[in-house]
Amino acid sequence: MNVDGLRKKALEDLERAADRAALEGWRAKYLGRKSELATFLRGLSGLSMEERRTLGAKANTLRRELESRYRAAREDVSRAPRHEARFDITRPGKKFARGHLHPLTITLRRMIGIFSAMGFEVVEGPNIETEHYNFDALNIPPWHPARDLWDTFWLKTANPKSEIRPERIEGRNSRLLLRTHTSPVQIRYMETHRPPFRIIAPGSVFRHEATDARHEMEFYQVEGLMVGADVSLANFKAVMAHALKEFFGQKTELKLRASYFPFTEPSFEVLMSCAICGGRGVAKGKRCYVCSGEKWLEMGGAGMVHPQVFRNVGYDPETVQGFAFGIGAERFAMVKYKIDDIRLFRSGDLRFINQF
Amino acid sequence: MRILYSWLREFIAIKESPEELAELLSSSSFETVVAKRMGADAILEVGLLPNRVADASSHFGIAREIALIKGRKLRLAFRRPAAGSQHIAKQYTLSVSAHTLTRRYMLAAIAGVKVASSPPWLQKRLVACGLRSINNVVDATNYVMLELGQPLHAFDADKIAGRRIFVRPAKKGETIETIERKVYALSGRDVLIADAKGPLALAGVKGGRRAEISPSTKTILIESANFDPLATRETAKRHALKTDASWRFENDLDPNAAEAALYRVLELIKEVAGGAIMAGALDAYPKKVLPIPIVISVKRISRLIGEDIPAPRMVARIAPLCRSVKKIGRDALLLKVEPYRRDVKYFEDVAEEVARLVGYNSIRAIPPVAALLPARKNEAWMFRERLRDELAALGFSETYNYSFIADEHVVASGFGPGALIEVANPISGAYRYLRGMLLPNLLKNVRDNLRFFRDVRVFEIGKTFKTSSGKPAEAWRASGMIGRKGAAPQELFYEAKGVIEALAERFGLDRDDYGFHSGEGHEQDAVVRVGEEEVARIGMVPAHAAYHYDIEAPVAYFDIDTEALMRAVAEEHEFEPLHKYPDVIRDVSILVPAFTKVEEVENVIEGAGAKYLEDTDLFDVYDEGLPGDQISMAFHLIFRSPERTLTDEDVGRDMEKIAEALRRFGAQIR
Repeated sequence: MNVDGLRKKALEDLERAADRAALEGWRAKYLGRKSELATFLRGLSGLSMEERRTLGAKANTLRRELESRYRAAREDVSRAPRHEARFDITRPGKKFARGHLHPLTITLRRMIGIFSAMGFEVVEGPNIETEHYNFDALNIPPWHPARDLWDTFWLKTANPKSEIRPERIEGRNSRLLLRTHTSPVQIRYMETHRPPFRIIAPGSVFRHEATDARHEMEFYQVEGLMVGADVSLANFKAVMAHALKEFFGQKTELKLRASYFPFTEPSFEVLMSCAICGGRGVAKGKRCYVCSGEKWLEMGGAGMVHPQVFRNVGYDPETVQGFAFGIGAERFAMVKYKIDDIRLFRSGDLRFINQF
Repeated sequence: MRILYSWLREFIAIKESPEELAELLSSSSFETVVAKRMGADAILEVGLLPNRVADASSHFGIAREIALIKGRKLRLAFRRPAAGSQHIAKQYTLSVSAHTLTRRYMLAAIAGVKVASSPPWLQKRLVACGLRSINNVVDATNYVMLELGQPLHAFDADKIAGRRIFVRPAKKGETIETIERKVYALSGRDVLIADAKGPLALAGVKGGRRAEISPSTKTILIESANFDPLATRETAKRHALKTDASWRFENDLDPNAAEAALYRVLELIKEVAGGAIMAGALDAYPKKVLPIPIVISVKRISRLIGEDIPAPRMVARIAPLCRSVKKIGRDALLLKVEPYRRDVKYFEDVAEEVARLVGYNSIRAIPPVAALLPARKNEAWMFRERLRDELAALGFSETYNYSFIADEHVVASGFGPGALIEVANPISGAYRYLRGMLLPNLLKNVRDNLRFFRDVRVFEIGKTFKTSSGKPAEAWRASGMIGRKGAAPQELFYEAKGVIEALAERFGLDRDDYGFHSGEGHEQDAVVRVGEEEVARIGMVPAHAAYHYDIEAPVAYFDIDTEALMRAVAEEHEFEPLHKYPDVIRDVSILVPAFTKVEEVENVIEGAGAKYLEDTDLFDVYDEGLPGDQISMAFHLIFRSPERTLTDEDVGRDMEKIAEALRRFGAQIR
């Protein structure tokens, strides 16, 4: 075999192998099982000792060289195929038909995410509630003037067509209504669980009032409840301050203002330094349009759970204590995205939704 | 409630400006704003909370609150004004039979008054607080109510028959004409002030016309009373008569306050209308309200607040509220809380006072310490959240609609009102029923958005409401609609179906796990079942509903029972080993008679006995350019073996079997 001739021819062929397929063809021809070189090397044993030493060594050297050149050629990117297409980078990209999540969904996820990270469990309750859970068990008896704080949608129960029959279960008021707050979930949860625990309960609530830019008859509330042996007001401040900072930014300040709810004692209003003007009351030289120059925004209500509420669910108020809060999702979204009309949330208007 | 800054200063030294005072009250007590500045004076608007109306619905009450917060002294000393020798008990008698509803009833008398208009200073204050000036006697009673919080009423004594005043339940059929000349029919649950002839006033709510103060009035009887909160609230509600007096009574005033107010009004009437005060007063006060004893633990209050507050500091804060504070143990204090603070009854109420007076905003925030247990996951919640993401990824935008639907939607939605839950006091007919399904409101979304968009794809995940065996039932649904101007109905129908298929694939449901079945309604609907359970419906919005909503474009819908879908997914999703050898794909295109269903053809292909056929995938259907009785279908056929790479011969044998079966079925292979 003419080793030098074979080498020359192989190297010339390799130069011409322009792509992967040609390269594989070259490998089969010069290094494959049926190649001249392989055949020769297999037949070495039939040669004399002298020939084996000289020609054999030469052929083996050639095989190693061709193998190494083959590997190098495979890795040589200049053989990579080229796209000849030209692009106009100023042309708009192709539009993919993605839908949009509603801003309430986005807001609720962020709110829930913040509390979940602190170990709060997500719990839900019914939208149709009984008078017992919505009022009585929360220390708001029927005669209580505080009931006027919640304008209520009642459901028809006497109507034979509606088929709902009112019944008093163990002397409880079972008149049906649409829950005016998510606080009944507190009662339902505590009736079936023992402290310590921490929960959040997101859900729709209903108020019988005329709608305008600031009032809705249906909106989303996120209720929170943490109960244990020594869960304190100071703890509430830490949890709520953290949540507000996470949601609106680290510069956000929390302030509490005395308030009144029959199911908490003490009760307070949760205020936050205005996220728009940074709590200065002035933005761009004008009175801040979000807090109207008040510097503080009301974000929800809270308090330490009233002992009567604990007694109503069979807890001993001497040994457990805790905080509860209710914050509005629309309110959070409105401040976050500077939305000025609460009715947009339930307008179904894609000109609004598709901005999110 | 309006409060005059200058009036407050009669009871307490105030260094703060009106604005500073408003800020102080807002942060410690009740939300307060400066409603109007008048030179150095100002009107404050105080948003009283229900539990503080009893003690703070007056200028003196607000001054007392400021004194408490700032630790200042109050100025107040009302003594019984000098009276003549004639004793009221010689002239009048009082008979209270509505015992349980009348906690206290006091009467005093002045003879020889001159009814005229009030002096300007008095008129000015009343008007600034939002009241009308009537005459000097009536104005004096209103003035003292604003000053001390105790409602008062003056009767013309000469118009009272028999010199005997009855406080009694109204009789059925009785009526009263009020000072506004309105007549009310009374119920047995109303309490009346009456004489032998009949009603003189509706207790705690409104005075009657018969004994009202007139220019000719000479002798007056003044009532300072305390009526049961619940009874007053019910009476005011029953007659739709909410007054300044009823508002205060229904919030549980302190009966002890009646006396000081009576002295004060006698003094003021004498000042502005003259006359001679009769000695004594008639006073029916069977059950004296005493200070409320509360035992508190200093440690427990500290624990509730989360900050150590030493006992002396705590005592200094709450002592002004108490008649006495006594140490009764190492950690325990016995408080006797003044009865005017009707809201302080329990240990926690005291804790609130302490927290409030320490200042909510000076309490240090301390992160809670709790066992490091991760929150249990709410699977249903998470599943719905995932559904939202999947539907958005499929090009649908999310809406939130009201839980209410209108009368006419009941018709359009095809639900009879019988299954729906009706609101007893709806805002309007447009929100009379709770929605039994999400579709009616979504259809409205489609209609509204088609004004601005050619192609509308919306979805909602929300609760629906129905009655089920006499009880209300709530169910989550995920529904969506596609409306597109100029589209063929089929195009939209198959998109709706595609949504279900895409979701099924994403959630790991195989085609063997679920199927589409024709709905029992009309043929433009299909029911999606997993096993026996219905998980969804898809279809076209019926023409009459679209017409009702004024929609001309075709609209397709899908309507998923999220809980059923979640159950199906939880059962079905299992891992399958990855296939090792590549698929071989062959296409087959056939002509079949029109109205042949794709499912029938697929059954033929899959039942042909092909050894390696893995999947049949329709990719084209058309009838254009074909004779009217034929349609063309084209399928990708996917072949696979778990053992080796398939050869042309393997697939060829299978293809022959399939072709043979199709020919037997009557299809023409192209």
